[in-house]
Amino acid sequence: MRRSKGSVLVALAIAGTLGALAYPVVYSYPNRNAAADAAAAALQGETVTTQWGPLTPADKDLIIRVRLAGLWELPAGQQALERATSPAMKEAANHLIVGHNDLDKRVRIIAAKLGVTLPNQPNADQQGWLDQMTAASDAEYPQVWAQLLRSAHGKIFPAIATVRNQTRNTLVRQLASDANQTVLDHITILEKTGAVDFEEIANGSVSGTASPSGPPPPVPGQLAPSAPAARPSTNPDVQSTPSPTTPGLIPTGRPDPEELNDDQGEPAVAGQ
Amino acid sequence: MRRINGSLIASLALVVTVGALAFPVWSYADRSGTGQANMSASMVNTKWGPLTASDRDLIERVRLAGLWELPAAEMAMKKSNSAAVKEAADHLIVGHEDLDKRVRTVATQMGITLPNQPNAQQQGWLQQMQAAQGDEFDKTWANLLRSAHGKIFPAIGAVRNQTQNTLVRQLASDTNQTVLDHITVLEKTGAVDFDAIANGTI
Repeated sequence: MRRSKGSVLVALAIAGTLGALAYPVVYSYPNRNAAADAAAAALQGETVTTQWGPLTPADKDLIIRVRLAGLWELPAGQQALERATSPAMKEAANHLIVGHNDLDKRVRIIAAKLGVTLPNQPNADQQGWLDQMTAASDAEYPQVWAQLLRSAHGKIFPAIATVRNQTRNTLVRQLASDANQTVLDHITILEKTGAVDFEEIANGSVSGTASPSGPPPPVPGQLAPSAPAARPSTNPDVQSTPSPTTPGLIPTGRPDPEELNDDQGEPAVAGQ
Repeated sequence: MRRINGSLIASLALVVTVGALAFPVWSYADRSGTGQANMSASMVNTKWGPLTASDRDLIERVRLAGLWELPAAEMAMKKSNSAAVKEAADHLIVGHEDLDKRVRTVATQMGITLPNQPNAQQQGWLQQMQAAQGDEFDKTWANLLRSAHGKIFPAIGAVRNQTQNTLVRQLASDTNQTVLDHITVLEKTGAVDFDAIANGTI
């Protein structure tokens, strides 16, 4: 009897194990696909047609994120003008204020044209970052300030590039180009404060699809075979100039956006 | 004896099963394939900071871009009748000669071996361009190039954000500026099919 009880237990355990192994295959996989399909459909479903081309949820998301960036980075920039401990930090705060005033003006014009409702308050994350900056002691302020801002700019930077590639909307396309210049300028100028922890940025942004190996790493002490210059085989008559400028400088000069009217909402910071 | 053998087999099977079930839990901690583990596994140190697989990948891709886009641009100078296409080709030649110089300097400094031939896919694009004539050439040319620039653009942004290497950081900034210029000037040809770009069907 004791032995047969043991067999029953073993049989139950085996049945349970097999059941647990089979569960994801027979039951939960179809649901998982359904969730992904629903997410894809939601993205497709909300695309609206405008005279400037289709406006997708990803386009709207960029418009809102550019607005939100202004809403928290302008106060962060102003705060740093008062608490800055170095000229480099003041310079960075200056770029943030000028850059986000400009982008905010552009994004309000575009949102009014496209009928996108803009937020007027930073989101909870951003308010938390402002609180962290306010609470930071004078000694830790430069690191806290630069790191929070550099991290936020680094996250939006590839997202801007994705929208710049995919959008079919001419207004969003121009906004993405302008935001690319401003954000790369801010990233560069924040790094110049010397207060950015690059290792923390790297660890905070690795994705699950990072290549396990990539091209082979260099072998220490071993010279790589020299690579001949890639140049035209003919001698074409070319006039343009290369895009990169002085290292550390990102050109952000561009014509002012058209004037605002009453439909275009309140500026992110009054009097700026 | 037979029963003992049966129990033994059943117990062994249970132990193996439980072991197999528990194994992934144990291996999750630093499972290979997670971004973090991959980043550390592929990283080497240089005097300009750590150099990761994605850093090296960007360096290689910038070199490859020059290797196929320079012949592509020269082809447009010869074959196209459109002033806008020739203007775009002008930017591609100037931009990629400049970037190629920068990437070779970076690769030499860090001892990275660069490819000297376009990859198979890029050679296929060049053949497609060779085969196309007239208006069809302009369309094929602009869309293949716009699509390739659009794909690398977010990848440059990701590397610009997360690299810990000062040489790669500057290269990513320079590449970002050049690629955005090329995307913009290619779109000015009026030959880019934005639906196909959005749907990824080029």
